[in-house]
Amino acid sequence: MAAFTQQVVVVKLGNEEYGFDIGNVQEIKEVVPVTRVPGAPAHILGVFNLRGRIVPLVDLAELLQLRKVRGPAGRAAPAVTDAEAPVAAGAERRIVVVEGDGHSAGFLVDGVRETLVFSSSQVEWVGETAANLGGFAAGAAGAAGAAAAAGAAPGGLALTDDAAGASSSAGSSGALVRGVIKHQGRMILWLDASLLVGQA
Amino acid sequence: MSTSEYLGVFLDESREHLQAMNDGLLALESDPGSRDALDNVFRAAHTLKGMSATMGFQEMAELTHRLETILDEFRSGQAAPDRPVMDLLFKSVDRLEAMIQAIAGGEPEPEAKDLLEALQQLGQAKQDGVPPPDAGGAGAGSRSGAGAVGGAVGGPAGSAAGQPEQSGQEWPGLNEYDQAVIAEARARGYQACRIHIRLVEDCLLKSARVYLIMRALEGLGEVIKAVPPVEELEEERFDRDFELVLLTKHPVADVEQALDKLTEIQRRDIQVLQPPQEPGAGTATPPGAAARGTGKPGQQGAGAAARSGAGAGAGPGSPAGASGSISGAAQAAASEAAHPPGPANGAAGTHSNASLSHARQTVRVEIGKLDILMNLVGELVINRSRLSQLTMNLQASGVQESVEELARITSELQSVVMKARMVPIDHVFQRFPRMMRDLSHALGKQIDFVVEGGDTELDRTVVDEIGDPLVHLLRNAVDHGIEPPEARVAAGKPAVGRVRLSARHEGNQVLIELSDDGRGLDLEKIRRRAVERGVVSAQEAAELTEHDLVEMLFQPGFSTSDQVTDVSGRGVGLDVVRSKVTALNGSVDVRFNPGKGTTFMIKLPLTLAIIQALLVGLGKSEIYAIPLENIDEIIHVSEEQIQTVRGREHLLFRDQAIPVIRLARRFKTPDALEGGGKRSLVIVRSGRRRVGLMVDRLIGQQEIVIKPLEGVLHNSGGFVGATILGDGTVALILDVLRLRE
Repeated sequence: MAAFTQQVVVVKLGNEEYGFDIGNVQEIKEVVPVTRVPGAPAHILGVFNLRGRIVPLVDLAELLQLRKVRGPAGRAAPAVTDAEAPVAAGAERRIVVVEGDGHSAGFLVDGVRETLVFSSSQVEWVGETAANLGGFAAGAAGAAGAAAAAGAAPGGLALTDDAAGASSSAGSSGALVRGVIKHQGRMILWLDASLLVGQA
Repeated sequence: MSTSEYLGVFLDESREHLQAMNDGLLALESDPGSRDALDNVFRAAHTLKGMSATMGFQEMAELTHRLETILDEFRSGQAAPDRPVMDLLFKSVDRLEAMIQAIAGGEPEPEAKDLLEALQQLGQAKQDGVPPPDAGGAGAGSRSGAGAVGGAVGGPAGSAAGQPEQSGQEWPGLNEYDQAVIAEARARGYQACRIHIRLVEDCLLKSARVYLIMRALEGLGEVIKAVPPVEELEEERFDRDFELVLLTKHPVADVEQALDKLTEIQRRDIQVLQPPQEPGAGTATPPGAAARGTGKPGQQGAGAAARSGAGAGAGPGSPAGASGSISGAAQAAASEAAHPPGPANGAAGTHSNASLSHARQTVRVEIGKLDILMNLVGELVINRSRLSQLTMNLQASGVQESVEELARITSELQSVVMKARMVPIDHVFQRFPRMMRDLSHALGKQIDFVVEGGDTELDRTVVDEIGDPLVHLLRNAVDHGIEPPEARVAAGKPAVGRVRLSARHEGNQVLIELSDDGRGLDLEKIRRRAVERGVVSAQEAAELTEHDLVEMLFQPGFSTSDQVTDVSGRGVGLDVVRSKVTALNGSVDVRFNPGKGTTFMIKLPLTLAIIQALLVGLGKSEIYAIPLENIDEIIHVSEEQIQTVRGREHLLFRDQAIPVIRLARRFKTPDALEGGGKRSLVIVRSGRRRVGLMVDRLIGQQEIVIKPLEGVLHNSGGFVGATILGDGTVALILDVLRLRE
């Protein structure tokens, strides 16, 4: 793949960091009340009013199956009950409105950190070396490298903590993550914004 | 300028002209002597020819040219519009439609060789010895396409082809129709002024300037023509100059004065048009106008002038025409040098012909843009309510007043935007006369088809959807309803059957009625058919009421037709009609009179975007909307009245067991109200069933704007959409038709 630089909006989810392509991010909002939609998939918290449009709000942690990272999602104003990241993120919680394929969805995150420019050389792609990254292995490149994951991804990645949960979700969540951006010792999971919106 | 920019305009306008041809041909068929109808068809064909040649669609240009030739023979009396010719003409229009369709889809033009040959044979049979239309084709094509070139060379067009072009020469740029209008106005004491406006060089909002000028002039009389046409003026598709023709009773000085009050006009020339000479009177120079016209800028005028000049040059018949052509061609060349004619010339120039009778000022707007506008206005309304709530207790002077003013303005804005989405139902109706003609010919029935209320307006989305159901019903009327002529005469009715389609507003709804004076519904036949189909037993059938029997007709796969024809009787029909209309929040009813006829009544909401709804509350905070359209009534029941039947909760209501759905339980609402006491039950109609929906609170009736749910929630079932409430929160709208017990 040709070399490139790209800019992402880095958000927090529990103690992990995720990046949305900045081109897909429409806006970042304070948390607003949502209307629950009975019968909707579990990761959809409801719908809210975005200047006259009805936009779904997605529980990103639920979609990525990060129950272990973030506690069970509450409705409308979910609370963080993550033991590993006891810092209550309530006040920093935001809705990232992302656009893709002609429609938009809001994603509930625990905080927005920064925008970050990175180059392709900083990326470990899912399916290449990043195949070794815990739960994503199954979705992208088979489970072979999963055992080595712990070594390749020390500390930060909590994905391997719940092996069963991770592998069952890997099919979807693996595809939703393009790779890992390594930046000054941090690891930021780079999300595929269009695919994410497709889930909402 | 690339032609692709104009493709959209070309397609739109071509469709309009094809419609005009269809209408005109139908009128011509019913009244072969109608000069008006013939002129209308001819004009449309001529325009299409010019447009298609300009856009480079050769096959289309060729076909329209041949059509034009035939039509011209009608005009000159060399041919008569008899049945085979008319059929051929209709077929050609259909082919043209197919061509437009193909061009719109990015496909190559379909060939029209067969029709071209048939048309040519027709021409040869009718007039031997006249140059074959081919030669005329080349001449005509270049005339309308390249304008001045054809004129200068003088194409070898036949006398027939040359003739219609002549008429424009008395006043360059004005066609026969314009002149007729002017002549008529003159008879009523109006005078016609040609007004040439040049705006200052740095004029910023040209369209606004045009608007002001138009308004000023319309205060004095009627603007019957604009060159370039009004549409282009409004879209600022002109440089600095344009021309208007004004019919007024005021002296020229008044017009000058009115214009001089406006700014940013660099130059204005007003010239009173003198009565035209009788065609063929032999005046060498067209009076005044042509001479003045030399300086006339504007591509449009140039194109039109070039065409008229060329036509005259080609027509060897009259010397007057020849001399006219010289000035015409020269003038065209002159203005062409200044303004290279754009490809849109042909298209735009003729558009004004069709609509100039009352130069309507319109702009085509994408429906998507109106949707966005509507959305924003909705938001504005919500914020306005919030604002008035917030300021309720404010003492500051003026705040209340200005909020009230804001409220008035937003309400008005909302209604204007709503209206902008409305289109006349003629958009659908206009294609029916042609369809009915073909149907009656195919089935050997004679039909007088009457359309009324075509100007009834309703929401664009509704108009788009209602076409198919109406086609079904019209086909039914012709096929099943109207009897063959002999049978009608035997029954003491006129041989010609009558089918009437009408639309009108009725309160917040539009009522479409489709009636025929045919045989009506045969209830016994429906009864028999129901038994044959095994829908009911013979015994049950005997007990079916009239209402039940009519309802049968709306069941899938039910047809009373004895044989399947090309037209209907395949068992798809009324059920499709009903489901389509129901999907539009409308209803279908039938009234009939055995032996005398059947009437279908379709009620439709004016718009899909706004409905009346009942807001209900579940639990402590959840609010849902139920379309009022679906609600029969609201009752209060005690828990004891609800009994289970085979494990499902039912209520005996007016001797009918209706299922009860506890919405809060169904929706797993947190903190739902439980326990005894009186409960509110909303009785809704879900298809043919009735269902009681138990809610925790009744909030009230409200007009709501329906908004779609996007993504995976769309079509997730249970909800037709959502709406935004006064406080900015979202309430879901129940899909009553898809509620499951």
